[in-house]
Amino acid sequence: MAETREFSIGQMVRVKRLWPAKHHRVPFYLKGKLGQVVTCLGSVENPELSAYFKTNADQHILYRVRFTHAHLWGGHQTDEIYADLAAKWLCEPEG
Amino acid sequence: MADHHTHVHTTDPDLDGKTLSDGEVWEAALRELLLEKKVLTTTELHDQMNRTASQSAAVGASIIAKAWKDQNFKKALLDNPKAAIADLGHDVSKMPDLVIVENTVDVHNVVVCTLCSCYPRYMLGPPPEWYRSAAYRARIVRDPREVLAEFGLNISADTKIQIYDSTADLRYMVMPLCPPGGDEMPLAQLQTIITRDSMIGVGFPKLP
Repeated sequence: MAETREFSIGQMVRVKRLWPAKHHRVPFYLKGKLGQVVTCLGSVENPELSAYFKTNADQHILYRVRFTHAHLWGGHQTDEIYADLAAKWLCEPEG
Repeated sequence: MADHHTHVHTTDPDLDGKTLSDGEVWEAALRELLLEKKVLTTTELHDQMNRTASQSAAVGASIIAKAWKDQNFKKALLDNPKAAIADLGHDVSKMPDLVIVENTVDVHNVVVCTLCSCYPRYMLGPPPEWYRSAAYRARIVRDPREVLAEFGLNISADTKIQIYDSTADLRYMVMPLCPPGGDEMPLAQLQTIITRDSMIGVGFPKLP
């Protein structure tokens, strides 16, 4: 499925809280967390299929998302964590 | 019984009586199957072994050193790392996409792969054991300042730490801050102060 860009740069997004028992490229510590889209990295093959050597025309837009240390772990550290996440794993903050 | 061996001969003369680990047995079984089934040829296998063996942090260090001395190259490198590295004559055809994050006085970058052990091998060679350890992967995103202090880096409270968790197919590498006077050193000498750890973000370059 071809995807149009669902998220804009600077937008706040929430990482979906899903726990599929198969290969996926989303660290547990980011699930359900709020981050900000910092850049769009183009489209990539769906690793959830290619990990199993499945022919893969399933393309996903990849975004680099910034999370604050304070949001993830509490406290007042100004440090940040960046992760590259596919659109299918992101939703509107209220979603 | 007389002529029967009661011990197993290994086929590898370098083993010197060492017992194979499970991983080594699996590797040998997989390698032999791939060759037998002609998925790989021995030439392809050895070509890749040579490529892997020639990868080292010296490659990354030479590229960072050039960027420190040549502002135009630095800009090209940060804009499009693979293209800039290819322009230096490196074969990047099999290299995954690379992002180089630049340290400044205000920002200190660190690379990790919390999901597995993605690492810019073409630039830095094989990853160190600690990079693949669960302890580093779990702790660097949670307690970056504490972990960096254990590596001997005390990051000022005014400096923001940015952790890059390589969760997709992009590889990340740090361009460390050039120490004062570094840009006046000859290129060959400059390369030697850019350590592997400084390009992961857990070390600083050291002036001799």
